[in-house]
Amino acid sequence: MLESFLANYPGPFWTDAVRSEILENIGDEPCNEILAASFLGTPVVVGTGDLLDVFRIQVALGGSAKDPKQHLGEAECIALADKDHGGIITDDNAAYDFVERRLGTNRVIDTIEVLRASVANGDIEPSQAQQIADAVRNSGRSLRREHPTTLTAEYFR
Amino acid sequence: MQPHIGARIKQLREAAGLRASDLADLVGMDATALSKIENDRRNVKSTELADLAKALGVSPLALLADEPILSKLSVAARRAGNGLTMGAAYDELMRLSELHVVLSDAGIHASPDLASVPDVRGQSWFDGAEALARWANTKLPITSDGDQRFASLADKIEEVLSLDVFVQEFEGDALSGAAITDRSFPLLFVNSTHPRPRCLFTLAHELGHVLANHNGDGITLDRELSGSTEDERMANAFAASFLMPSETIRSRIEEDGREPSTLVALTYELGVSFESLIYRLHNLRIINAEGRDQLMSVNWRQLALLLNNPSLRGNVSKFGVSKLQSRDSSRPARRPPGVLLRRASSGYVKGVIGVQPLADLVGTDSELMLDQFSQKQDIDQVIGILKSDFSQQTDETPEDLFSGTPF
Repeated sequence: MLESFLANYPGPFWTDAVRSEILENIGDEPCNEILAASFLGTPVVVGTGDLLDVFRIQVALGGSAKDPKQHLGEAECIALADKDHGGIITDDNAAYDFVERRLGTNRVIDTIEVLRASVANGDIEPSQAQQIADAVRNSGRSLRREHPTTLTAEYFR
Repeated sequence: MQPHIGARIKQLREAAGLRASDLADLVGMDATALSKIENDRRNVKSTELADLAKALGVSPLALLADEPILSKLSVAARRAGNGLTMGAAYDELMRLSELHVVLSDAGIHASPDLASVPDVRGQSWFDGAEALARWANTKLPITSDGDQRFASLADKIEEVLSLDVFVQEFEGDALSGAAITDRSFPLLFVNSTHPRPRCLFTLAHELGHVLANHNGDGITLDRELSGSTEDERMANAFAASFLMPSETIRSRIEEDGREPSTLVALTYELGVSFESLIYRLHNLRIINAEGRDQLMSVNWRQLALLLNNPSLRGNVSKFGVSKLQSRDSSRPARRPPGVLLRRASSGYVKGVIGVQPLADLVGTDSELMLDQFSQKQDIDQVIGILKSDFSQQTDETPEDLFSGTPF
């Protein structure tokens, strides 16, 4: 589903710092799946000239010198999206709110919105979207706070 | 390639006394790769830069641009010794400074009002302290008595001078106070793990550093306020003169005599400890060193338990006595740096920063804050509501008026 969704966009879809964060959790099944997902392409290595923006954003997200890798993956993605007029997919409430304010409401979406777009494109059925969203929650990940605790298939139409 | 990154890394590595191979080992990097980075012959990844900054004890921002305040903080920390740099208080000062840099880079600056502070450069530490205390007593008169003095002074410093005052408890941390004297982000920090009178003295001491524009590095980290250098002596003399003005002490002793009740009343009203007041009596030559030492040997805290006796408490009210008796266990409330908080709020609205740094400043949970902000409010709509005619059209009973939960 994600591969089909991302096929509508030119990429790149992830960065080196994001890959590093995932590599730290290698062995977890979802992390292994992401690392094996060829449709994500090669992660972007942010150029040295853009690092100042990256670390400013890292501080803006709550990172600090004490833990300079905290939020680094998100910061790289936001810096690149800002520079290349791209967008962000995130279920992190704070990051979503930040990108909305910084880049505009049309530059950020979450899992539910990806699922809705996939339903609208005919890639999946609403009931499948519901199952995917439930599976996300059941695996211990959270969806954005504005979404109801109980999701129905109708929610994805 | 961003110029000078390699040179900055090399400079900080050498300042930290590390060989290139040591730093390479610390970050798990090949020594050749580090050498190329230091000589700007190889790009550095964000994750590598994060590792290098962490190993060097600096902010990544300080490696990427000339950010004087972040570099100075690291230099001051190295000079102060590891005991001060390992603590949570130092980490928090670094975090606040990084936030300041990000806001400044986006055009949201601090604007301290220090133009009228007398220039005491060239004066002796004693004369300089007296001149600054006279100025501060005019510009920042503390009208509150006793335990209210700390909050009152902190308010005055922020309102009148637009300096940041940051108060937070860091239990067991070696850092008792700090002053960022750099004019781009002047900030006074008090570790409120100590009793209120000590915190008041620390606040005034740090104010002295900022007013005197001490320290070419722009930052002073204080473990003890021991007066071991001229700058420290000056800050102590300023704090003593500002908090315990000569005329106040002399006139009170003249009126009420050398009685325990006089000492009690002065201690309570000025919000200082018995020890600070006794040192001040010696500073002012009201007593000599022997008298100071004998008074210092008195167990004033035990005597404070007897203050319910009117002859001992003098003019101090019963309420004041109970406040004085509990003073050693009372700590100032947490206080976020107010000027930085205003700048951060502005930065949040403009999308310069996210909710997390703002929530950290306020001392709340970011999700809770997002809940509070989630309902978008149009200020014109609020003005419209306030200006609408809501005069009562029907008689409401007292029960109607007081029904519901007002919070």
